[in-house]
Amino acid sequence: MDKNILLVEPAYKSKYPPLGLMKISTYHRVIKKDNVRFVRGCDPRVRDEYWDRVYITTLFTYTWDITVKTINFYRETLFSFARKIYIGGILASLMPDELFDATGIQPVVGLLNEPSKIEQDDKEIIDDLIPDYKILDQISFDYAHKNAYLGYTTRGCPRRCKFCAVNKFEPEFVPYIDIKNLINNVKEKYDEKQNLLLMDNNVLCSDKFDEIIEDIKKCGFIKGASFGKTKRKRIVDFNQGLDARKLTEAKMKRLAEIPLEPLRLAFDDIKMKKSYVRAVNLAHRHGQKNMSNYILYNYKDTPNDFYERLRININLNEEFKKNCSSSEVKTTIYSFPMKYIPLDARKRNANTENTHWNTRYLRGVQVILNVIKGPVMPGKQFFEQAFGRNAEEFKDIILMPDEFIRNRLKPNWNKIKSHKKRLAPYVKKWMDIIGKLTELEKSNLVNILADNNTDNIRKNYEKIKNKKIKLLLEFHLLSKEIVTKYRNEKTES
Amino acid sequence: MKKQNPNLGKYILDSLSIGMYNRPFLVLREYIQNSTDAIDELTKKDDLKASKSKIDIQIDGRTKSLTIKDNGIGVPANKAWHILHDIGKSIKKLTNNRGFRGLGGLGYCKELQFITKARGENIYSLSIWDCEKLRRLIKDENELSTSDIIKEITEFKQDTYTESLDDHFFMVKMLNLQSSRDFLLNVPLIKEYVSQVGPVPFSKESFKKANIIEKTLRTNVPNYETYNIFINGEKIYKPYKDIVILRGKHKDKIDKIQFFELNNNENRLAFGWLAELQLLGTISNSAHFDGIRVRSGNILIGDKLLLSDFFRERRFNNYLAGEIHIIDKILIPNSRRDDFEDNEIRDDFYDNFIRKIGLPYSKRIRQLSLERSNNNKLRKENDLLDRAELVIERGYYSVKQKEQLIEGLWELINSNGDNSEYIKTLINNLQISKHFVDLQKRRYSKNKYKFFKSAFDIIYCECQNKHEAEKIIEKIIAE
Repeated sequence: MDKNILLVEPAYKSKYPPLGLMKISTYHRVIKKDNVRFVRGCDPRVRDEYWDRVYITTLFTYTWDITVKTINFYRETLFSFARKIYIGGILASLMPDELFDATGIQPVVGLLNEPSKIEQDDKEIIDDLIPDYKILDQISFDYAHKNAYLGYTTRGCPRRCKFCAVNKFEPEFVPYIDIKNLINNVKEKYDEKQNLLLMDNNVLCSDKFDEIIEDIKKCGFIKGASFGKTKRKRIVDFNQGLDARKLTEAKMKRLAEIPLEPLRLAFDDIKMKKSYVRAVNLAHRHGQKNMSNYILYNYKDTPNDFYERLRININLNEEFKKNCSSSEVKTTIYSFPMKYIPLDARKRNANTENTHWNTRYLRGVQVILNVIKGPVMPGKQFFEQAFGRNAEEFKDIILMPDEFIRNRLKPNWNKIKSHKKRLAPYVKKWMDIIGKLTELEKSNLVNILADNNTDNIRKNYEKIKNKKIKLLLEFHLLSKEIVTKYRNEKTES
Repeated sequence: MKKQNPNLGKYILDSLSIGMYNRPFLVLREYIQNSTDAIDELTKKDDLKASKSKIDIQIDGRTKSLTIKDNGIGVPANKAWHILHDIGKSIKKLTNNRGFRGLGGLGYCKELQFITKARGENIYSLSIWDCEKLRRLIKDENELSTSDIIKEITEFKQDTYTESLDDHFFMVKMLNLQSSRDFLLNVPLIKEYVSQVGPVPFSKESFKKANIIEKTLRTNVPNYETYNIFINGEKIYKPYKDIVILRGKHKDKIDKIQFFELNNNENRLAFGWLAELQLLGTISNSAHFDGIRVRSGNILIGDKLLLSDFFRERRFNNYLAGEIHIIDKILIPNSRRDDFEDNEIRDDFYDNFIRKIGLPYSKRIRQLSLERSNNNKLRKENDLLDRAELVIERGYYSVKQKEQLIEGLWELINSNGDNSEYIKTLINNLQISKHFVDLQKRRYSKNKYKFFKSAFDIIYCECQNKHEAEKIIEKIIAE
């Protein structure tokens, strides 16, 4: 009673409200009648108050630096009384010992499903509590998905994919959780939410799948349902994606009964092509108009098959377009390339074992994605403009200097019909020269550019005899000047 | 394998004496503590009123010796040999957090003597320790054990006591003192030390709140006691005074006392008092009572900075004056008495201190200092505006003065933004303002006129304090 509880989310970017902290808030604020405060990042204003406990959540391992900094800030804020600090969440569950070494605090691993994990004096299972939406009003930060019920209808995943962390913190597959309870409670205690965001890791593996769909429908999420006075469309999103291999005719039929938007599928490996394409067509046949597709790269794939997977989606989109009457809404698939980051990586650009990719290639893809702001558009023309017309051209593009990739087209390109004539002169030159390289020369160039290190490029530039490669390296060294010069000339004329 | 008897080497002696008391004053503190224990033993029997107790410290510069004598219970003749020569057997009494430790003096003199007598006996006991020999034997290569060495270096005598049978005392004599920079002969420093560390009373003469604090501590802290300690005849009091000298120019007064309790879920841990000050700045070092100080058995734990870590900024502790007296028997000073033994209660104690004093006072001190600096800024700004108006009306004394005023006004506009129309008018008027002498031209001869102009210039430019410069110039004009 009356304890002062501080909840902290390190100031990393996040679209989703911190569900774990929200449940802890319910435990302390609603059940224990404590005073709860929620902050993001290192907030100097809380240093004047006394805190009985501080809970710090963690997310992706690559937010390591900011997470450690935040923990140490609050440790200092508490005059080093580390026993009052509880750290949990994904990073903490994946790298507990590393985090201990960096902070001196042993984190809580996994879900809060046992009272002993945070030395509770009661038997409440915090993971089962209704999240406290009220604490979100305490901060100015706006989560994109604030206006949704956040929950799970299953927990864990029966698969054991090596690239995925789910098994580390949710090792057991729980095939059914009653979502009705959560939704009714949130509705009653806070307010009614427009959308339903389900973070299930593999709901299609549940043998209670029919019941789950029934539950969702009972809560008002039926296809075509609307919300509020303005009649906004209600949406259900299994935002961690569905397992294409498990999507059967029967299950798709059930999914079509709820306003699923989008249907998310994963296309992690080119070997899954058959089952993936089958699943997309199946969804299309059942009237699923909006699809989204996670494309894992940099795990065991090659740049070629990465391009191939993007291309498959473009082809599917083209097909849907062709067979679609003008009055109908056409089915579209957006691709979301997702770079593989090792499960214990402390930085986004951590090294993986994959030798098909290198720093230059990864950087190139990132620059393209930055320009298009994430999802890969369904249109063929746009796609080919951004990623190239074939895998070879794709690789030639991502080898370019960042500045070239960003400024590939002439300012008035959309008035020019010919693909080639749209290119800025330096890009055209780059493509011409790189197209003329022999296989050996090309692999030489890739080797020099691989680690995307300017000093290394300069060193090689100075000693290399091959004129074509030398010129391409020069582009890398002078890219900024070349682009600026071209731009200035254009604005003057 | 059969368990064998472990050997206690001679270095134990070293660590119990020189090693443990690495600062000479700590020895003093330990002997004072022994004396208070001996006095308490006697008061328990109600034989002696606490007010008649006495701990007498004599420091003699000519013989380079220091003697600490108490009229506590003393050691009966039949127990004297064991009590004075057994090491590590003295019971650390949990009841009062204190205990007998006698060997600290070994490191700081050539000869250490213990002399004692119990009431009703006509024999006194004397134990003499040869400290030089001890150091030699420890350094030499030999296989002597601790008890071998004690036998080697000590001499024990008992003799007939010719004065009153009722006398009872314990005396420690340190002869031929050897301490770094002769600290143990530095009488003023030792007085300062004992007044801050020892279990002495508040001075009722210089500290009006002495009575109320003393009374409240007695009702709230079991075992709270004060002792009459004299150093070369002067009675020692705690340094608290009504007037508080702050660092810098300010002064403050102790008009009101606040009492507080520190506890954890189960127990009262400590009871304290705090002077309610205006928190204008840190208390001067030389007042000897800055910072909240922690006492167990009314003897200081650690130093005045022990609690500084538990404020947002360490210096905030020195804004405050007060004491915390430990109540709980589980909160035991460590053997160096620079902190408590490490346990959960210790954490609870500091945590509760943070909650009740450390954080709230950090917040208040910071807020007050922010307000003060804002007020200060406002005062300076008003002063600047006043001076500008005066110069416009009466003329300037030096071009430099005018320039500086204009510069200051521009800064004001840039930093606040508000009121800027008014200030801009002032600047305009300043720019067209005239020299004071020019405005008074008719009153001065040509020579005087020239002289004044250049004299004012020199005065204004050379004086560091421009206010002073203006005063001087005004005086000249008045003449």
